[in-house]
Amino acid sequence: MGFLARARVKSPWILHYCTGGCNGCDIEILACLTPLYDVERFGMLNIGNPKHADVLMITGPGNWKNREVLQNLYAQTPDPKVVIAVGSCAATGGVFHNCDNILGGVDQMIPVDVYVRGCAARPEAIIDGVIMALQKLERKGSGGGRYAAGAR
Amino acid sequence: MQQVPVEADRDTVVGPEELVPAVERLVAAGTRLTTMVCLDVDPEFELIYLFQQSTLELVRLRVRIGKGQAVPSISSVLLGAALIENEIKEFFGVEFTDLALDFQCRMLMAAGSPKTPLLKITAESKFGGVE
Amino acid sequence: MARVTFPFGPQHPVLPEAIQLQLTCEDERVVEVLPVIGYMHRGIEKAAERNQYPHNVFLCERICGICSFIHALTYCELMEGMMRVEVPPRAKYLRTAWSELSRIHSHMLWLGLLADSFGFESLFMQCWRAREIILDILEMTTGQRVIQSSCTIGGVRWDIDTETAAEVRRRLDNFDRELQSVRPVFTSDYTVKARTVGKGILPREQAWSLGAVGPTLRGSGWAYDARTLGYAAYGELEFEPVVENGGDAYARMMVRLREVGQSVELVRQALDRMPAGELAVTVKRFPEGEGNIRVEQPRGELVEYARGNGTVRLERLKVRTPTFANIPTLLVMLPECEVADVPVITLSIDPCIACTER
Repeated sequence: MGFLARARVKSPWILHYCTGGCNGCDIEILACLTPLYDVERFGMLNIGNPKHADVLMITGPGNWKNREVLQNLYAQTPDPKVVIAVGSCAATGGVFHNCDNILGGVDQMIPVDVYVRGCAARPEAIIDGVIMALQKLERKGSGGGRYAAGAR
Repeated sequence: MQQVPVEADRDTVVGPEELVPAVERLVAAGTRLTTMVCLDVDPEFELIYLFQQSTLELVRLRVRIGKGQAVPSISSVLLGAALIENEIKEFFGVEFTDLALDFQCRMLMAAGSPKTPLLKITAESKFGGVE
Repeated sequence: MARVTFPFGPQHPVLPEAIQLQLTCEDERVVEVLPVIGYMHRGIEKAAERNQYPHNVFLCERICGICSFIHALTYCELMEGMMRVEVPPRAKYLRTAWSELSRIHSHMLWLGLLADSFGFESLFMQCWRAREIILDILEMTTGQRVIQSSCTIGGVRWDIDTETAAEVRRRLDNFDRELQSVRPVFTSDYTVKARTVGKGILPREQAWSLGAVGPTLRGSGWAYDARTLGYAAYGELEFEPVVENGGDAYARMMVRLREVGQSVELVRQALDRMPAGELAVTVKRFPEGEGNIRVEQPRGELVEYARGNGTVRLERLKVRTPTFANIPTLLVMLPECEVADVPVITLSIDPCIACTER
């Protein structure tokens, strides 16, 4: 593993975006950053600029207006990147499955690497999901097989 | 004090043309708009205007209009009503005349979203009339 | 001076949710603002017509994850009122206790986000650390942290027994100590004052006519609190609406800060006076006719309107959330402010976009 790939896994930066969920998962993601759960011990940092991010954390089932915004954010994030869908509605639409403005999950808009279950997802589950995503990021970053940078 | 069941026959019913003067009178008396509710009661729309006094009392105004008929907007009297009227326009397709702020049906919905989702689905609206 | 229009959001570090403000600026001064919403719209009102009415409790709870308990309570009280179901007194007190706990956690969350919006990172962390005590209480009593699902039509699902109540009181004392340590920072710190005093002024008359609710209205000098309507057990508890007269971001912050203390007191009162008895009654009716209800959420007054037709599905459920009523006030607060103050002023109405757009 090269120096860059190793460094990336040691300090992944997170971009959080909500595509229309209920807010429960968003506040749990923020709770992860605060003293009790403190994901900064894994070198994670919540930032606002997609161009600095390695990990996209998406909550919410996705709707028509949000789709373009999210696809832009995904395109702006440099490779290698991983996408985490946080919460039940980000995976399938969940409790909002019969709402009419819903696309039914983040994977209807962009490719997703890790799904975190729970409605709302607990901070422990979110941290667990991020750790899983990092293993994937490591494989993508080390340039092997189908995880080569840029390839999907 | 909290009265959950609504006794509909005790509310004031006004016609579309008397709506704006009625709202102006209420506003002059110190009430303000809480919200508007639109109901699809075939073959009409029923609009309920909920007003609120500073003593927490509720006042209700009801307007009934036929489908395809326009309602005068009250956003010239109360700016806050513009958002609610835009929402009703998107959800039910009710036309408001003289909207202070018109989002052109793009306030909550995007281009791909379903149109007028809250209209009741009948055999006629779904299949274009049953012969 | 040339005017420049630029978008603030939908993806922005201060906003946990997606809303866009189109700001037209002259130099560093905002002259016009247009809120663009719809990034969080799901269509819950339609789904509420498709679902069976008891299942809507879970849907309503997820209108907003921060004040989820109060959304469930509102829907349940609305349905009970329409079906004329009498809820057992113990359930009413439990509902009051949980909704006040939700209010504390929402206000602490907001106080932290406000501190974060002007870059006071350590204060943000302190507020959220104190908030975790409340979330622990919620988890201990209902089994979930943010979405509790403890309210049901006809009563509540879980009980707080004497042992747990003692533990809740002990933790509330801990929380009180934490609150006392952050309170002086909010009331007298130079940075906090410099960023909030005189920012985003909402005059008393305009606050009323634009339809502001909750702390935004009370910060402009109106003693208007829907809890005085006496839903759940509020009619039997002692409290006074918190009012500040400044009308600026600082006044709204002080309203929320004082309400946290008030809510702690209300939880204690509710636990003390809770009568013994049943938790829920079985409801075997269907909602019929019309009903509307007003409930005080952390962000303001929540209005729900429903019409039933005697079947298991509702004909219409309309939810008017507090932020929807508060958004027009931004049109008054934001013009003439500096671009750097836009996050603070926007946050000062405590925007909950998931609520607004449903």
